[in-house]
Amino acid sequence: MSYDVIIIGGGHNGLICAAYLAKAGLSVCVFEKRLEIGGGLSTEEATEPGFYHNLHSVFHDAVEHMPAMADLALAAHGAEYILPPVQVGLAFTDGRALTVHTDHQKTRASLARFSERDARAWMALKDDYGEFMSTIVIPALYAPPPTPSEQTMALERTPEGLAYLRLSRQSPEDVVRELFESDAAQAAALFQLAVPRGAITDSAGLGMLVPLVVSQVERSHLAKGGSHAIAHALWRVVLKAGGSVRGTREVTRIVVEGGRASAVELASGERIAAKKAIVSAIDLKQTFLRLLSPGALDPAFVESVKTYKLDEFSLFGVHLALEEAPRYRATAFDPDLDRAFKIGIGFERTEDFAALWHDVRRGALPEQPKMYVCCPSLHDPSQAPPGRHTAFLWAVVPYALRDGGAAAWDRVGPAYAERCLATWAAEAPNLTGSNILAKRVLSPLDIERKLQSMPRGGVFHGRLSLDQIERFRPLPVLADASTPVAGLYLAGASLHPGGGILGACGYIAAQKICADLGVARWWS
Amino acid sequence: MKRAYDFVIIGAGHNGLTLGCYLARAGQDVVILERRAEFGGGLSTEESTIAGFSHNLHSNFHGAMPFFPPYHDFELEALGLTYIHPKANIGMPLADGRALVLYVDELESYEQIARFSKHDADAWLELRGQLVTHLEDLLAAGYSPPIRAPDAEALLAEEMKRWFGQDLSQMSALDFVKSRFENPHVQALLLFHMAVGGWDIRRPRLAMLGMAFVGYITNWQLCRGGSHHLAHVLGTVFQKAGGDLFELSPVRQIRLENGKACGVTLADGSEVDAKKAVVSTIDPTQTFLEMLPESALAADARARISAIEYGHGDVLFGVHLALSEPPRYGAAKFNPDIDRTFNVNIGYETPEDLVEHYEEIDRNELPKHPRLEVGCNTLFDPTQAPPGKHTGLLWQFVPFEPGGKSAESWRALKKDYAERCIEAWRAYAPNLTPDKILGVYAYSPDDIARKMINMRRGGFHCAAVSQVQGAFNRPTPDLGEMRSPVPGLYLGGASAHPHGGILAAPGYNCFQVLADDFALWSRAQLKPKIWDKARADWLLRLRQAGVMR
Repeated sequence: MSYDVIIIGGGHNGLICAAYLAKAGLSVCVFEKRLEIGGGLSTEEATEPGFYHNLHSVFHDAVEHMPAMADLALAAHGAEYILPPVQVGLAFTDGRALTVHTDHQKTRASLARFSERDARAWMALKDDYGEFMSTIVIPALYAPPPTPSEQTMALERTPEGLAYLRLSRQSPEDVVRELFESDAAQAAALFQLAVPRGAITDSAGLGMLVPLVVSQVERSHLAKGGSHAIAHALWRVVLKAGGSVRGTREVTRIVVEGGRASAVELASGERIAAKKAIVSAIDLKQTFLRLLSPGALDPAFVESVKTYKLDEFSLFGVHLALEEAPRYRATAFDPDLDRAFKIGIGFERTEDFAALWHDVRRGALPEQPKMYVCCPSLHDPSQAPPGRHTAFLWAVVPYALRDGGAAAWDRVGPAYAERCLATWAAEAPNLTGSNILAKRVLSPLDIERKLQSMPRGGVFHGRLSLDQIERFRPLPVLADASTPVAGLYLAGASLHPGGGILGACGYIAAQKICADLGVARWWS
Repeated sequence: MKRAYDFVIIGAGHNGLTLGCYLARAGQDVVILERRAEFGGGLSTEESTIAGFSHNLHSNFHGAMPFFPPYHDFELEALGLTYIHPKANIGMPLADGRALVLYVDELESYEQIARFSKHDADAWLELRGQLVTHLEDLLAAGYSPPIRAPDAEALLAEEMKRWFGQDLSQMSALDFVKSRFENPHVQALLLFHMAVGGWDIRRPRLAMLGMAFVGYITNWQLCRGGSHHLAHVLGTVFQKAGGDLFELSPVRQIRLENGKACGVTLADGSEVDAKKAVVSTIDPTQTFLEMLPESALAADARARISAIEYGHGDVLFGVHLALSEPPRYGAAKFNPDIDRTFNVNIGYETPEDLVEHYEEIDRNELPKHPRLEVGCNTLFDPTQAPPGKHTGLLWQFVPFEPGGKSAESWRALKKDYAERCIEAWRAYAPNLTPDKILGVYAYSPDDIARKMINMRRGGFHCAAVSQVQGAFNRPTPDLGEMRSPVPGLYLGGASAHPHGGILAAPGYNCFQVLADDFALWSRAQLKPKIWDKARADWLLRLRQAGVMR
């Protein structure tokens, strides 16, 4: 058995890459270890029947920019997205709340209740950077990253570009302190960074993310029926383009012959030849340290793969089946809070972020959990039985606990879930007693158990740090999706621009592979 | 989604998918509309306990491979489908430390039964011989549209007498097994494997149905990777053949034009036209009483549909376990293979044990002493759990409305009842101590009825299997041949002939009816089946006897 192209891993990047290549006329097969494809596009009735829980990705921010949406006609294949008008809410312990809206004037009004100056600064940042972000920065997410000098030369010519280069030397915390005076505005800008972008707010060089989130050229969408519906749509595209998708088939080895990746071996013992290319859409370390024999690689390269830095934080999830949706105390202050899509609990000021990263870095469970919470069924009733609701919290936590390492999660998880719920209930008092029909905990250890490509519970496939982004992601020699092994490519979130449902890595890989194989691109 | 298709199929369970595959391969333009986010219906596998542990929440023991028509017709193995057939196939550990295990190999089974009763071992071989001789006839009965021939009953009874050397026509399965076997444990094991077929072994005139189950009693197989994998493979065949499959597309209404079904309206108000027919693979109550206007059916036909019995003998309470080691039975000292037996009966040691449970369920009582069907899939397919770890499942027959209270009362009961079921298993497999149990997921009939709304009252056959709801009367005489009183509307799911379970028979049978009605493929264009000749012979004899047109 053989294919032109074999793709390892059926997450959204693997499927997108497969779809582009199959539509280009190549014979393509995706091998997925799990029964279900989609990777982080996972929706399960994890508590009770009829309650659909998105166990991994929920907030899809790049829907309006992702080339795959239009190129692959995903909507015609069943992918439907909902854009909640109240995008973000921060609930504060003093009973106040800040909300960010798709309608910028509403965002401005909410900010103005905390600081008129900040409201003006927020709008000015949006006006200054909105177009720059949507014409320069966003398209760059879907292209192989330029070299640092190319990037600098392109940017330094204009005042916005130069300002952007300065932001690229600052941390997000530096930026928000410079821009805003109120705790609320600073927290609102920083809140957007960890989820779903994977950025830590004190990371030098990631300051340029602040105008990106403030300008809101990216907007959070919810997949109708659950995130896994997007995986089904991609699956349909691949099949209808003549490709194949094989679940429950684990690739255990990439065979290199004559210096070229030529076949894969499956756990079942089968060997499947790839005539033109093998694409790994799983994580970097598995690809080079597990699937390839060490002899196939330069030892220095192997060392650099080993030192690739994984995510610094993980997420602790508690998924709830609810009788009624959460109702917040702070709606007395801002009635829009109850309908906000992504709500922050415990993120009140810049210091809260600093305290969180301090805990995470020393493996401590935050005493006061800092959480992203959401009630998807408010925005898409099809995700719960009529009149009932699904909700979840994601607490930002370390993977390895100081006391007992990662293995301790099975022991401490249930109690920490209760603490997180109590923290949430302090802001949304109806989240108690018989309102909670059922709950399901998903610890960082469970993330790794479910999705092997997210080692250390890292949902972003590797840290977003200055030395691991853009032209340096994941490693300088791998930045264009090709690898030191001829015929072997990467398409997973280890590549630029990184994790989250951006649909970028698989697209960039498909571009590169078509170019290398001399296959005409069928898309514009 | 296109605005119009030749055929609109409601429900993407395995029957809907099977029917879709055949229609699409016959060049028809087909859409399957599924209410849930996942297709596959009872082919459901979820990580319900702990991430990485796969649990088959509905069907687990598949008995129809390799006869399952799509298996060969669409070369599912080449698409990655693998069925595992454990050689120690069914068994029961006994409280006295013995174990009765039956094997794929008939002679091994013979030897094991002989350890209990030489008489029964001989009776076993005789019965198996009779069944294997008529395997094609049994398959033909299941994998063909039912023949409406009420006058054929006497002929059929005569025929059965010839096959089995005794008059079965009025017998229950219980009567039959007791007439042939003497050892209560042997009797219990055989009856148990009829009972897990999901119908009442006490009801008269169903002995022949029981026989069909004995026909594949050691043919239980496991879908590698989880039952849901079969759904993926069928979905692949269907879509590659050009069919469209949409989840999250609940049908609200079947539309009529001049009294003929012409399409459906979805819950969001959008419409899809059916140029040739609408086929419902969900239950008849939703199809005919909820999706059609009242005027579409005559009052008596509606009354018969309202009277359909749901949930009798096919209502199960499931408990799914994540385990650090597989169950090890005390009875392994007697026969070590019990530790590697696929489909295991716990606690039903005599026929009376089964009858006691049926009677408790008749009274809407929760069985006081849980007795179980159990399995440990990871013994045969390690991919269903993390390395070195295992999954376990147990099922217990229960009433849908325990204590006569609402089904909702399961919510408060299920955790404790799960513990009692686990204890009952532990009595035979003492290593299943709480420290070995990493996760538990209790799945009640109320949960089943809420997840799969066509499994009304929690019954997996989607209309109870009984004499009055069998063959050309399944689920009612008006609907008995897949056609319905509404032109252009067909029934092709588990509610249709022969019954539920992962057989693909209702979907396959419905295709045969549609092929005739719409002049699609002739049957001759299907790949030959081993039961073709038996079916042709049987039709010929019915005609010659003048009991069929």
